[in-house]
Amino acid sequence: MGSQRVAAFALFLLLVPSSEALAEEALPVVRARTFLTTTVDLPVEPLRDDAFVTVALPDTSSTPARAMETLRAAVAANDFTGFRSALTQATALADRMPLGDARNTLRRNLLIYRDVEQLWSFARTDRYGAFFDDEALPGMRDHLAADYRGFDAFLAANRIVDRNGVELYPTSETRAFLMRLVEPSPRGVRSPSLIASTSTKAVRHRATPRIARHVVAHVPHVAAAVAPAAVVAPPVTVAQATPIATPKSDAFAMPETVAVLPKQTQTPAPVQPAQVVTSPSSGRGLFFIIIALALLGGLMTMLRAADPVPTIVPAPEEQKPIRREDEVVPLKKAQ
Amino acid sequence: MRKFALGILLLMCAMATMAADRQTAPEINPPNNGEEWLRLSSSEKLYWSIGYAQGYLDALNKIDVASGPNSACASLAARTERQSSTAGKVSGFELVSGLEKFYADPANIQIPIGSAIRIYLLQASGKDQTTIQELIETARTLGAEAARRPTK
Repeated sequence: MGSQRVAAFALFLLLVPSSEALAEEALPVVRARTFLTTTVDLPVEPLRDDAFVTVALPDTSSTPARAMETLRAAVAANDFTGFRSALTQATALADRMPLGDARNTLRRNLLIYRDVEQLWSFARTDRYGAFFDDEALPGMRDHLAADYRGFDAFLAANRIVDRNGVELYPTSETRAFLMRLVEPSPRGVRSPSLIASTSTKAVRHRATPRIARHVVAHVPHVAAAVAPAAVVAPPVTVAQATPIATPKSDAFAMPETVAVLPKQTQTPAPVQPAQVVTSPSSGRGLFFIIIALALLGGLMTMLRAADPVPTIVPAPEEQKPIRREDEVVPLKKAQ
Repeated sequence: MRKFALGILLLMCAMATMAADRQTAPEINPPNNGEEWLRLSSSEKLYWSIGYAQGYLDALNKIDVASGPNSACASLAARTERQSSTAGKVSGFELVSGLEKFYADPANIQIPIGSAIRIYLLQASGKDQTTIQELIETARTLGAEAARRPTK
């Protein structure tokens, strides 16, 4: 009997899926709507090369030193196309960099390189490109003489006067003169990419002005207090860093601190405005002071309690009658 | 002791004068190819170009004298050489600029300067680009062979 029940149960188990399958087959066929069945027509032939446009994207990993090196190498190799591309990338890099000595140096160098580019372009395109004068490059001589010290002396040694009395200046020597003015990148100055990759601790060790260091040092605490998910939100730092007015020389360090923080940000979190960010160290100090005062107060109380209370000692009972007697005696005497 | 010191002083003065003379004395080495051309200053390039153009014109004018007025040499000079002459076609400034552009390509650096001038002049006169390119390739081969030859 029991075996029959087991067999019946097994048969039931076998039949249930088949019946479900039969039921599924019976369901109507669902067809997608027309707008969902649009086909993607892939091109039969491959795209031609001229369909692609080469765009010189700025190299995000480049550093000022590397950009300068690329420009210098392009000039040395007489590679005008590479020079122009490197100049574009270096300009983009300078625009991205935070304020500071490195940026100033790079921008000064880029100004020189733009003059080099102008001269080089003229030398390549003009029929008489080996020499220039005021007619060929209007204002160039005055601009160079005004901007670069020693250019007048350089021209006096290198100018050529033709039979009509026209002064001509050699393009290649002028380029070489300008290249000598290009400063190397300042030692120890790091690029934005390197700064961004450094930790806040490392940034703290840098010689930054007092206010900037204060901001950098406390931003992680602030972020931890505001967003417990260890997210440093950029709006906090920007909002706090921007209003702080620092002297002109000190102002260069501020954006560096700002540049540090977005790199650490993983997800932008809505963060409270800057007034939420109070100085935690001062708050903590106040807390400690209050606790210390309370402890001091308690200690004083305990010490006072331990000391003999300066209360009026009650007179012994034996003297009281004497006093009374004394009091009485004069009265008696008086009487 | 004083005489000894005076002698040393005189010797040093003489050495300094000789060194100064050595620095200011121009080295008259005509360039053979682009490498040597690019070592010159712009003034030197200009003076060399003017001298080259004048020398070339003089040589052309003397072909008639040397070979006779109606000889094959004279007709050759009139027909071909004058076409590649710089005289009357390009100024010294233009020739310097043209050679600068020509030698800006590092592949042309070994091309002899005479070939470079001819190619530039043909290019400036509007010769078709295919011919110019063939000439450049031939000149590169010649320049590479000349560079491989041991110098005297």
